Amino acid sequence: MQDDLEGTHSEDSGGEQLLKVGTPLREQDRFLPIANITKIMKKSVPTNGKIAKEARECIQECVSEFISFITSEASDRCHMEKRKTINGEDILCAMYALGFENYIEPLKLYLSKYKDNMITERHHSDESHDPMQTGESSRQGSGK
Amino acid sequence: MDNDRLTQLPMSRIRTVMKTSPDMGNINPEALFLMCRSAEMFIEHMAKGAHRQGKKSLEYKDLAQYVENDEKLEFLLQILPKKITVKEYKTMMEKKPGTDED
Repeated sequence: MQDDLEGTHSEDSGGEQLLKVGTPLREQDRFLPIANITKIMKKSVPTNGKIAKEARECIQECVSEFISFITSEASDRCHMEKRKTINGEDILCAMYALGFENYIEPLKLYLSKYKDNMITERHHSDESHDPMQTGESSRQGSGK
Repeated sequence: MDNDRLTQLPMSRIRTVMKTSPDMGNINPEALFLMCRSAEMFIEHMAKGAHRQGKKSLEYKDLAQYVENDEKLEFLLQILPKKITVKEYKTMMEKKPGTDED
């Protein structure tokens, strides 16, 4: 295993960790779960098609690289405009700047579905007088 | 809930990966959602693109080939080296002039 640098090595097995400065990143912090990735890949190849283990692991690394690539670009744009929070537009602009403009239209469609859901949730919570509901989503996906 | 059905990758993990970028600020929920969806689209795009017509399996070399042929995937070149056989490597080294041999 890797040697600790300066930070403490956290032993908890939970999915979401606070990344302490100096703590070496674990595999599960750097990559998305391979099961989810495999499922998505399987939909993109003919049924009964095999996906080599090496290919799956490769995609796993590529996706993380893709996320970092887009995020850096979005983050730069954000800094340039003196903002601290990356928003949806930053992501879409980064896609465009990095050559993934063909993703933009489908993403916008999904975004409007997402927003509709958020509005529906807010209405439900208003009706039930839920004091917890804020503008931020309190559920970030249960990692299915 | 509906939003969970809209994504197939865990958003908490997406956020963790995004946070590994240097000088990252905060990420608003929309941005996180878009990143999640685009990661899924990316996986589909790679798998579909690399898969050879008529072949049943998808292999590492198909991915390496695909990345090499697509300009916008240049950022992946260093993590996806094309594999060569030992024989090819030897031939390559022989062609290089003045290489120091160990």
